[in-house]
Order: sequence, then structure tokens, then C-alpha cells
Amino acid sequence: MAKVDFANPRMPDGRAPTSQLMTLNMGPQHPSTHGVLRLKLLLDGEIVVDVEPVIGYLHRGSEKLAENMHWVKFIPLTDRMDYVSAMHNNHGYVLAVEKLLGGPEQNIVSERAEHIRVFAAELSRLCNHLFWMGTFMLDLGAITPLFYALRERETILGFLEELCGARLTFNYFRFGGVKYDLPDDPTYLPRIKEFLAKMPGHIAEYQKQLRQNDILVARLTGTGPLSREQALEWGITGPMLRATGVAHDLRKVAPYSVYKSLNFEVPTTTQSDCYGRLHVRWAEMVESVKILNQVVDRLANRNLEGIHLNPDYAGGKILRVKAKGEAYARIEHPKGEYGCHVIGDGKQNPSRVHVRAPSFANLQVIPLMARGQKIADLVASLGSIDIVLGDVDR
Amino acid sequence: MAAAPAPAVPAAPATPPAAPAAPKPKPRGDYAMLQDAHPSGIASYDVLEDGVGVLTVAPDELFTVAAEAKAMGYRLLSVLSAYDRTDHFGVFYAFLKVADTPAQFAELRLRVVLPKAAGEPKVQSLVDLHPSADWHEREMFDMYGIQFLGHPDLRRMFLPDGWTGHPMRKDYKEPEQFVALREGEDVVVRTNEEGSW
Amino acid sequence: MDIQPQPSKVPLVPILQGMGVTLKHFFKKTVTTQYPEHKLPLADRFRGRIYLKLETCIGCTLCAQACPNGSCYMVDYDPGFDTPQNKRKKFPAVEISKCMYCSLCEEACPTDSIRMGKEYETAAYVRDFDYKPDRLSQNEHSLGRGPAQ
Ligand code: SF4
Ligand code: SF4
Repeated sequence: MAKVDFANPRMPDGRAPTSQLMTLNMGPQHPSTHGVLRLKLLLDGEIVVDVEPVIGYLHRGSEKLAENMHWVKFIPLTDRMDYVSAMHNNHGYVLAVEKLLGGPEQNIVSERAEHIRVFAAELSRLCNHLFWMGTFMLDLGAITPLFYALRERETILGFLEELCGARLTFNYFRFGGVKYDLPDDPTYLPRIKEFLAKMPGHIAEYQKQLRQNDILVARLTGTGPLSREQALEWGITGPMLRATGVAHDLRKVAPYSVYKSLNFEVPTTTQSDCYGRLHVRWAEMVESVKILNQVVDRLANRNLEGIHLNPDYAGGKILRVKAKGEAYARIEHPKGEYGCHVIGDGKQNPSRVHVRAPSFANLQVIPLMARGQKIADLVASLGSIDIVLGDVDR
Repeated sequence: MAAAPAPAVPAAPATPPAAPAAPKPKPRGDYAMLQDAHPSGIASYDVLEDGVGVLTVAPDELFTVAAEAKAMGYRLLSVLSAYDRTDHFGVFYAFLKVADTPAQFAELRLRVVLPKAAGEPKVQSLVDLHPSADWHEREMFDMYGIQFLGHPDLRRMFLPDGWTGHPMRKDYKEPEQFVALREGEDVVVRTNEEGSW
Repeated sequence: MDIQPQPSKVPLVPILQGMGVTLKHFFKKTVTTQYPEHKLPLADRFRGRIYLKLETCIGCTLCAQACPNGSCYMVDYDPGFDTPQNKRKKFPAVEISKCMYCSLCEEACPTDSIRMGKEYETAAYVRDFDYKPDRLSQNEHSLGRGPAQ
């Protein structure tokens, strides 16, 4: 998008402005920019004429750091990119490196480990969407839904803590499997089942509060519109794209891990505004619960062969991983397509790791969504993209 | 930066990275169609370790090849990444066919090889074709100093405007510098210059 | 699967419904825990601050190699007793303020000498977070603080 000319402003249609335009700086320390995003706004009264996002305040140079460390040491760093759904970041990176280690068939991961991966990733997806819903409502000025969302999220984080020992920065996936098997506690899977049985009720509860609420409907309908053409042009992926009516879900169209054998649907809607996106994410939560139910059943029946971690990549051998070649792996992150482009020279450290962050790609459209709308609607549009600044800046 | 209508890139001899001893894989499907349509622009076809092919495209033919790919249905720019090898820079593109079913889904990968001997790396920008390339190209310019010819606003993405050098290059040495984050006129004060403080 | 968001036709009723949900929870049990008076139980695998077993550490430096940010490093240290398995008397030290609790050191250790404990309240009034082997090897008991259970 061409640079906004703040010194010599123009209206979107190229006319000279009839009234005095105002330049306003929003962020980087602003509660509704979800971190350290800075938006330079050009305003006509309360109407947004143009926006220019300025990012980089959280840039930590992870990709450069990766070039100087063992392959395995980058896994905890991916946790810190999108810290709201860190499991998926682990998954994308590990998948890319496994393509170098095990070839396209990826036969170094056992069936059981794949199921545990999907189990962890889908729990993480639930967490992400719950947290998104809570903070999105917070952006709109509704505090109550956050508490409902966090109540369930805390339960899930408790499960993940039992699984891998941390609540946010999991560092759980390893080349060739996952770090731990499921907990020994025999009540672990039954407790998960119990929670999953309740989860649709919880989602219905959020919907009862929010779905038909007149204030919310009036606030969100028509806010942050994005046409299907625009979404494709601007490389939008994930729930944002599905809200424009394209059922493009990498779990379905380019299945990785064991998603091929699982039964779920891809929710879409044609109402491509903030209200539609809210519905898509709710429906995705329901689908995640469906996937989890199937995976937990398979894990509980113990008919899955294999161990959780390939012994060639366990223990002290994690430091001896050497990979050669070039690969790109993509997964369906709750925010969109998360990809990892890795190049190795057969050394202990990567030569290049590039992370294709969904938030970074999706944030580009904010000027399209916000032009001609009120500032308050800009905040809603920004919230509906679901960005995490750690992911944008990496 | 003014966009020249047809950016002229010094025709770089596209050197594919060390070809494997095994017989060269043959491109199939859309890859073969692209290669037949642009015999001059496409230097080689390789298969990456993950089993997906990649076409090496000459830097001044990239736009036409990508436009053709877009016409074939590869409408989503999935990833744009660059890398630095000892003797060349590379830019890596992956395009997707957006699909509802696995049968419609397809992926196309392109690669541009920019030898270091040919001077500063320059490649055609894809912004006119895929607006989403905007930030990705700015990021790669920031990190590798790759010039994307025809990009409307090639600025740094993450680092402050006054930064010296491109940090993801392998030969990057961290300069001693202090960058003032002042709007518009970013001031670079070198700590090793006398009286700079 | 196509979703059709359907706003309600009758005004105000959905708002009252939503308030009903809130009101129902008014009479339910609270789900929050009053930290620090009450603490949630920790999982068995919880990754807290690092402990070192001087008796078994062989000084192989694998933990220091596995650390992504260099917070774990090797020092010369005399534990005050005979360590036949570690003749050079090299032991790891951890700068706990830099440590990101990733547990890669624990994973790489061949003798399970370095491990993540359950202590997570490492804040202090004096800024000395560079834990040398002596401090690293004090267990929860000798610190006078048990794990929060
Ligand atoms: S837990 Fe991680 S960061 Fe901390 S000392 Fe061990 S390896 Fe280093
Ligand atoms: S703690 Fe373990 S890994 Fe570290 S030096 Fe001792 S034996 Fe080796």
C-alpha cells in the first residue's frame, strides 16, 4: 500500500480535503492495539481517512538468532512469537525440519506422537479462540465475556501444564515426536472428556450473551468489511479468509499430521465483517471440540502403536541433529497460515529459518478495512484480525 | 521510489545451486506448462527435500512468470522469503490455489537466484500482481537489502529508518551506532565519531 | 458448512437473556483462587527453577551446550566432598533471571543431575540471580520453602 502522505493529505478518492484533516498517533502504548502496534491515523473529524501501521517495536531478530544455535534450540523461541497459541508455532517449525530429516514421507514420527500433537494443537486452538473472543470484546468495551472465556482457557492451560509442564511457552514438540507422553495419571483423559462434553455448553453460553445482543450486533455488522477478492489479493488466510466464504483450511485441503483421518467441517460465512468473523471462530471452536473428542477416543483405546518420541532424537541427541536441504512446511494456525522455510547445510545449526507469520500477513489489510469508518470501528476491525504483536514482529 | 514501467535488471546468469548427481527430475503439470511457456526465463527445475518442485526464474522474467501463474489460478501469495548463501542471494516464493477441496489445492514455488558477483541484488517486485507482497518485500529489503524494482514504497519494515546495513546478511557486522527514532528525519549518531554525543 | 448469523428481531430480549447468564453465575461458586494465600496445585511436570545434584553431575557441559540463551554455563567449583565422577570439578551455574524455563538443559543431561524444580517464586529484594552451584544444589527443603502444593 502506498505510503500515506501526511504532509499533503488527500481524501481516498484523490480529492483535496475540504476540511482540516488531523494526524493522530495511536500506540505503540495503547491498550487496544494488542501490544506495541503503532497506527498513524489521518482523520477527518472522527472518520478515518487513512491509516499507516508502523511495526517493529517488538522485533527480536529471532530468525537471525536461529542461525547461530542448534536446530532444537529454536523451538523455545518459536513459543515466544505467537505466545497465545505456542503449540502451533512449535508444530510448524518441527514439521519443516522433519521434512529435512525424514524426507517427504516423514516416517520418523509415530502414529501415537502424531495424535498427541493434534491433541495439543487443538487444545491450543481452543485457547487461542477463547482468548481472542475475550480480548475482542474488551476492545469493544464489554468486560464480562473475558471472564467467561478465561475460565475455560485456564482449565485448558491446566491440562496443557499437566502435559508439558508449562502454561504458555510449552516447548513441547521435538523432531520425531513430542517431549513427553501423556501424563501417567489415569484420570487425565477422562477429565479431558468431561471438559469436552461441557465445552459446547460453554460456547452456547457465550453465544447466548453475545450473539443477538442488540448493541453488539449494531456495533459489528458492517464493521471492517473485506471482500473475497480483496482477501485473496492481500494474502489473507485463516478465519479471516473463511469469513469471506472460501472454505480454505489447510487441515482439510493440504492435510498434515493425522488430520486426514479426522472428521470435521470447515465453517464459512459470507457475511465478511466483524460479526461474521465472530461466528466463524465460534464454529471453529465447536469443530475443535469435535476433533479433540475423536483424538482422545483413539488415545484412550490404546490402539495406537509407537512411542511418543523417536529415540534417535531424544535426550542428549537433540543437540546432534544435523539437517541438510531446503523445505517449507505450512500448517493451519488459528490465525491463518503459519509456515516455516528452513535451509540447512548439514551442520548443527540452520542456515536460514524464515517464519511466515499469519498476523504479519493479515495485518496489512487494516487500511482497507478502516478507511471511511470511525476510529472506534478501527479498533473493532483490528481486534477481528486477531493479531499478536510477537507474531507480527518476530 | 518512482516505479519504472519496465524495470531493467542486469540479466544475471542464473546459477542453480549445486545440482545433485541423481538424474534431474522432470517438471510435471503446471510446472511443465510454465516452463514450456517461458523457456528463456526459467533456468532449472529442482525438487526440494519436502517433495515439492521449485522453478528457478531469471530475475527480469519473474513478473511475467508470476503473472502467468496467477492466470493459472495461483492467486494467493503464501510466502516470500529470502536467503543468503555464500555466493548468491535467493528469493523464494510459494503461491497457492485457494481451494475448498484437496483436489483443487495446488502449490507452485518459484525461486530467483541473485549472484553476489552481479552486484547489489535486484529483482522485480510483485506488488502490482499480489498487493500482499508489499510488506513481505519490505521485510526482505530490510533484512537482506534486496532491491525490489517497482515497489512503490521500499522502506525498512522492522528496523528504524536510520539503521546501517542489512542484518540478516551473513557478512553483517554490527556497527557501533545509535539510532534516534525521530519521525521523518531519523538521525544516526555513530558512537565512534568524535563529538557525536 | 455455511453459517448465517441471524440477529434477533425483538429488541432488548437478547440483552436480558445475556444478563440472565450473568445473574445465574452470581449464585455459583467462585472459580478464582486468592493467590498468594491460596495456591493452585502444580502439575507433576511443572517447570520451575533449576536444581542441581552435585553428587551425580559428571561435568560433561551438555547442559551448557543445550541452553538457548546462555543462561546455563560451566564454572569451577569445589563442592567440599569427593566427586570421583567429576574430577575436573566443573559444575553448571545458571543465571536464573535470564533462564526461560525451557528445560532443554534437563533434557540433555545424561545423568539427570540438573532438573527443573517446582519453585516459581524466585523474586528477591537483592538482585543476585546468578545461581552458582552451591545455591543451585540447595534443595527446596534446605531453602526453608517447600514447593507450593
Ligand atoms: S531451562 Fe532453558 S534457559 Fe534455563 S538454564 Fe535450562 S536450558 Fe537454559
Ligand atoms: S548437570 Fe548434567 S549435563 Fe550438566 S554438566 Fe552435569 S551431568 Fe552434564
